[in-house]
Parts: sequence; structure tokens; C-alpha cells
Amino acid sequence: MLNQKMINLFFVIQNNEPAVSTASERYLLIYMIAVLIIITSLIIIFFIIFQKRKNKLLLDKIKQQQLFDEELSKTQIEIQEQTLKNIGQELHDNIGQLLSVANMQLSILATEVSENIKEKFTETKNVVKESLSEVRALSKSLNSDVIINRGFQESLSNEVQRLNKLEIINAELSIVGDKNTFQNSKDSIILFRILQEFLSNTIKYAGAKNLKIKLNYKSDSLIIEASDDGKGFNFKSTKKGSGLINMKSRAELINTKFDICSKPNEGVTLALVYPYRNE
Amino acid sequence: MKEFLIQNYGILTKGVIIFAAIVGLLNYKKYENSVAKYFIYFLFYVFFLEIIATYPRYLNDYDFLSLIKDKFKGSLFERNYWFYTLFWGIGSVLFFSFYYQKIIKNIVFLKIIRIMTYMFLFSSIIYILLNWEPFFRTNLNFISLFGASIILLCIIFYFIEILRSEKVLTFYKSINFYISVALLVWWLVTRPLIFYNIYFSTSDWNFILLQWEVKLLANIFMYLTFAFAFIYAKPEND
Repeated sequence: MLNQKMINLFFVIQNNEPAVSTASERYLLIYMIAVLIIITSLIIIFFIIFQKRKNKLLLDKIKQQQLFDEELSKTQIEIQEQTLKNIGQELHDNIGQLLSVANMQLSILATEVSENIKEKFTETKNVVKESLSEVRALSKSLNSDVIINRGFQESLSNEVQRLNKLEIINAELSIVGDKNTFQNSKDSIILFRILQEFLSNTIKYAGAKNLKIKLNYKSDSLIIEASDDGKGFNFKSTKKGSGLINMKSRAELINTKFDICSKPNEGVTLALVYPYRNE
Repeated sequence: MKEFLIQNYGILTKGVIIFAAIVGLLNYKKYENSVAKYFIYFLFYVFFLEIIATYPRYLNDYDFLSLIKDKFKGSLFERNYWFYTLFWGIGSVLFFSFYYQKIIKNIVFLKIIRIMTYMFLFSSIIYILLNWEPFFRTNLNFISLFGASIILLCIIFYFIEILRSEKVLTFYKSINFYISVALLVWWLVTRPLIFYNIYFSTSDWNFILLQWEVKLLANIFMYLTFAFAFIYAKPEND
């Protein structure tokens, strides 16, 4: 019997039967594969965590840069406001004072002037008087405290009146809606400065006859449209000056949609959409 | 389970491949202008490769092929090892080398991949010529391992490049990230199997079933990941 088995075994070996795997070999294979799966998942997890971390750092860096830029332009605006305020005060207190003294003295002199130069004298006196009111109006539009005090719309209509009085341009302000919906005084200064920049550009370069400003107070936003009928400019070919860039960066600071469009000989149109913000 | 695997192993494998390929095709418009379109072509190539590669089985199953079957019997082409070695073992490695050369930008990495690929191609040809008989009878471990190392090299280079770059903030929306992950798992997990090839015969069903289970799971994981990536990823993040 045993002999028979031995012969069988011998026969098997002789016959070169294909090898058969043992259980332990198969377990080793399973083990190997499991280890490899663990290692690859570790690699992938490490990769994902590392990448996420890196992304976070990068985003933080970008955010910081943005904050820095915003702070920078805020500071610039503050400095500018301070300068304008100083100039306004100087105009009001110094030049205004001198002019009013001159005006007073001219009034006193008026009684002593002989008849033949009386007319010319009165004319001069009126010029001095006009300069005085002009200087006062200008100082008011420069001083941001005054703008806040008077409110955005009042300051703007004052500015329009000033332009009309100077007879450089025929300006017109139209208002739709309730002005009380807009209460943010800091933002009102920025909007006012943007419009001031636009007005001064119109007067300096456009050679326009008419200027229209339209304020539209909506429930959630203020829409401002300003347009002139001057010579305009080619938007693409003209290099953007500091005025335009300033207007744009100011608008960005208060989340305002800024849109300026122009074609040669068709005037310039500025459109601002300011969503109300709490102070 | 055993019967089910024996009956359906081939169909399941081909099923997940064609599924991934069709999902790729449906999203073809999205990837038309990106490198990923080559990958969609490649999936169809793999599918047809799988269909042709099972020719020994067709010869067994269909009677009308019996005439040809006699011709194949005893010839070198009786088994399909040579076909897999040529078109998957070498072909897929060449494709992925080409694919990663399109993705990777680093010049040093590109040079290394290119040199390694040429070395792989020439050494494979020489190895096949030197081992002419085994080429038709079994898998060639040298080619499988060399090929796997090239693909792993490409994947590692790709990962390093992503980690170094500052542009790819949304790597999890990139299709190449998912392709790389799936390939990394598949090539690492299936490699130990090749050392057990000597047991791959009808007298050792325990081993065959184990190998099929491993390969099937690896394939399902890989091709479903591809299909998911086609849908989820956005080509502009590559």
C-alpha cells in the first residue's frame, strides 16, 4: 500500500505536473497586495493634505495682498481728503478773510469816490464780492466735513450751481427717488470725489457745452449717470491717465460698478451703480 | 462565487472598460481641446484589445472556428500571452509615457521619461528576441516590471510637478489627478501577481480565483475612477 503511494508520488513528480500554490503562498500574496494598497492610499492622502495646505497658504497670501492694497488706497484717499480739507480751510479762512476785508474797505471807500469813476468802482467791488462767494463755494466743495454735513445731493447740486455760475458749462442735475435711502457719509464722499473728477475732466478736456447728471435712488442701490456732449475720446487708443485710474479704484473700494464709455465726437458717459452699504 | 467569476470575469472586465470609454465619449466635447482626448481614444483601444485578446476562448467556444482551431493547436499562437505582452505590456506603457510627456512641463523630467521609454522599448525587443519561446508561453516579468516602473515614474513626476507649481489650486478638479491616482493603485497592486504566474494553470483554481478577484477589483476601481473623473473634472484645471 505504502509502496503504491510512493510510486504514485514518484509518478506525479516525473510527470512534471504544473505547480500548485499553497495556502501560505496565497496569503502572502494577499498580504502583499494589502500592504501596497495601504502604501498607495497613504501616498495619495499625504499628497492631498499637502496640496490642500499649500493652497490654503497661497490663498492667504493673495488675501493679505488684497487687504494691503485696499488699506493702501484707503490711506491715499485719506491723505488726499486731508489735503483738500486744508486747502479748503486756507481758502475760506485766509483768502476769504482777505477778500472780505477788501470788500469792506471798498464799501467804505464807495462813499468817497468821485462820480466819474463810480461805475468802474462798483464793477470792481462786485468782482471782489463774486470772488469771495466763489472762494467760499469752492472751499465748501473741497472740505469733506462740509460735504458730509450738507449731504451728498446738496453738495452735488452746489457744485452744479457753481459750474453754471462760472458760465463755463451748462450743467443740469436731475433726481429720481428719495435721497434718504442713501445714508453712508463716508461712501458719499468717495462718490462725490469720483463725480468731481469727472466734472473737472469735462471742463479741462472735453470742451462740452452741456452736462447732465442724473441720480436715481433705488431701494437697494444708487444709480448715477453723468454725460457731456464734448469731443469725447477713443477709449481703446487713449492711455488711461491717473484721473481715470483713481476714479476706478475709488469705485472698487465701495463695491461700485464703474462704467465709462466714449467715442470721438460723441461725448463721454459715466455710469455708476452703487449698492447701499451700512457704515 | 466561483462559478460566477468563471462565467463572468471577462464580461465584467470588458464591461467596466467600455463603460469608462463611453462616459469619456459622452464628455468628449468638454475635453476636445485638452490632452485628455487621447485618453478617451486609449480607452477604446484597450476595449478592442481586450476583445481581440480573448481569441483562444472564442476558438474553444465556437464550433465554426474549429478549422482554424486545428491550425492554432500546438502553434506558438495557441495562447494569448504574446498579444498581451505586445499590446498591453508594451503598448500601454508607450501610451502613458506619451500622455505624461504631454502633461509634464519640466524639461528634466521630460528628458528622463523620454530616455527611459527608449531604453524600455529597445530592451523589451531584445528581451523578446532572446526569450522567444517564453514570449508565447508566459508573461515576461522583466517587461511587466520595467513598464510598471516607467508608469510609476511618470506619475511621481506628475505629482511632484503639481506640488511644486503655484497655478494648480484646484487639483481635485483635474482629470489627470484622478487618472494618476487610479493608475498608481492599479500598477502597484497588480504587480505582485506576476511572481505567481507559474501557478496560473487549470490545476490550481484556488490561485486563479484569487488572481481574478484581485484583478477584477483593481480594474473596477481603475475604470470607475476614470468614468467619475470624466464627469467631475474640468479641463481648464489641467
